[in-house]
Amino acid sequence: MLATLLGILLVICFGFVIIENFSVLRKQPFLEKIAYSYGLGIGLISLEMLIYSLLGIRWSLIALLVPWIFPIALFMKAKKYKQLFFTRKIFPPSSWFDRLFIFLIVTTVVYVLLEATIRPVAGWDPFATWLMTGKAFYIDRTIDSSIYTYMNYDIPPFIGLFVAFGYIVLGQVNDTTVLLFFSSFYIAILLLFYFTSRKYISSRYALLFTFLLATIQNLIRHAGKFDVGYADLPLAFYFFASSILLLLFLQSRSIKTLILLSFFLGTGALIKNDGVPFFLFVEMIGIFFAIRWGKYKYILAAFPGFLLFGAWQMYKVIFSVQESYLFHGTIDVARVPAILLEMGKEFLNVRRWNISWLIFFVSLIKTSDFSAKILILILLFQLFSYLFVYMVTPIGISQIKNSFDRLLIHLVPIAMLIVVTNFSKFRLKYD
Amino acid sequence: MKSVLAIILLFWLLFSVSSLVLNITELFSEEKIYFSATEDEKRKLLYGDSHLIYTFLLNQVKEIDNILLFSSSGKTFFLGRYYLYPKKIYWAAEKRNMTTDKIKRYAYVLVYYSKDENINIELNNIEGLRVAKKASIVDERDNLIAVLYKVL
Repeated sequence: MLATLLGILLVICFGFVIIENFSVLRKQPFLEKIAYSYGLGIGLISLEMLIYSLLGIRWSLIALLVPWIFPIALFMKAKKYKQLFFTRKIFPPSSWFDRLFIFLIVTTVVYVLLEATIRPVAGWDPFATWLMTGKAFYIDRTIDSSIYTYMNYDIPPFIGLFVAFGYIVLGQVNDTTVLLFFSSFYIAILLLFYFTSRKYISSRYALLFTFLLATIQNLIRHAGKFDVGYADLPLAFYFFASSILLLLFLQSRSIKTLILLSFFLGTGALIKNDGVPFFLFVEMIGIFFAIRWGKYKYILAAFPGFLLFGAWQMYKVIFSVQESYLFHGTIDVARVPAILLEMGKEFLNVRRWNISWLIFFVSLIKTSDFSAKILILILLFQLFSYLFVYMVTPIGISQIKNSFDRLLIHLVPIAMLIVVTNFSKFRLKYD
Repeated sequence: MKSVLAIILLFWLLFSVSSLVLNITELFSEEKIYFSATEDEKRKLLYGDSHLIYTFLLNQVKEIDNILLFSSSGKTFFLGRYYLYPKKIYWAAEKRNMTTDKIKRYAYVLVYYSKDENINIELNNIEGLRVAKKASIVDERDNLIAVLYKVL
């Protein structure tokens, strides 16, 4: 357990050092940076392992840590670590209301972490796919392309890579404690959600909505209960973080933010194939606005994402990894009514989502904010991409019942943020 | 409008709090077995017979590799693939299409006898195929759950 926590801490450290060294997200609060650091660290360590694999360098803890000596030394030299130890309160609980919700949120997180650590991986997809590749990568100490032939599936490598990293830090395969890497995405989402909500509503209501997000049953299942280990919660984080970074970029027009956004988008595309349309669409939005502002050099800032995406596509071609059925299937338009019906049922599934999706759709009537419109555009595009997948899938309509709830996890933090931005139009008594 | 919104928020909050309370209650009632169970017991609870089968194979028949699994359960196959890696296991999902020549490509054959479906495979009766029973795997009540054959 301690070794896993050390691994998570290392990942956060790697991401944080890069963020601080390049002075990205300067105005963001410390805990919000920690959340971004986790996502960035996961992407960077996975990329490092991918590069090592391509260069024929076998993974070991020392080999993976050595390249980080330089950025960490740079961070220490610039004395940026002094900024870590500020004395002002992170959460100033000025009232009983605030204290109550902090208590509820912390209780939920502790409950989720406890759930994640009391049993080994339980979900079908984790042991069939995600932790399977993690175990294979760890045992082989590289990405051996034969694993893709053996599994007959073209899953992107990043989940397997960070799981393998967890095992390298642990020194063994432990499919119980490594699940904490997945639970950490849940915490990161909550942190990002709270601090982003604060830009639209008071701290009080930001805590309330963070609690409401934290207690969505399907999120809890994927963060700690029987569905922990699926790739959907990590992807939800990258979708959410990317959406916020896009809004930040549109506001600040900072090229550094665009670069970070591009990296997060590329990472998402290498977490799960569902991340690919999101990556392409949001990247295009960023480039569109950059061109509209006359900042043509910003197009280069999209390079990190395309580098990640392109490297994986090239790997698949070189090693003849089986292509997704999406490129071979036929579009069955006749399925659309049935697909929409099943999707609609899932939105109304109160057991899995509380009333979050209901409130989301109702809140749309109050949409006026530019940020909300951008987020809605992204969400609708991604929903349409899922509709397309169901039109093409060879498995048929039955696949929706087994999978759409997991696809909605990708989008629920974004949907909740849209609820918050629309809610901010109201002024209630306790603001 | 504001009062309607306040009521909706309050309802949503109550729903969430009650869900959290229910979750915590379940953790210490339905799921409390996981606190006291050993690692082996936890995996038996989660994976059923598959845990018994693959643990037995890993511990007792260490030289196995390149196994052909006859099973109606996809879960058994995927767990086998996960447990046994780097040893390879393949799933003969379509038993009727398995020819003798195809079976001979594998070093071992594992037949899983699911409780839900009667699997009646007599490998010794397949023309041109010679196998030797390597191990029989039983559960705690001595019910046969799987048989491992060596392909000769």
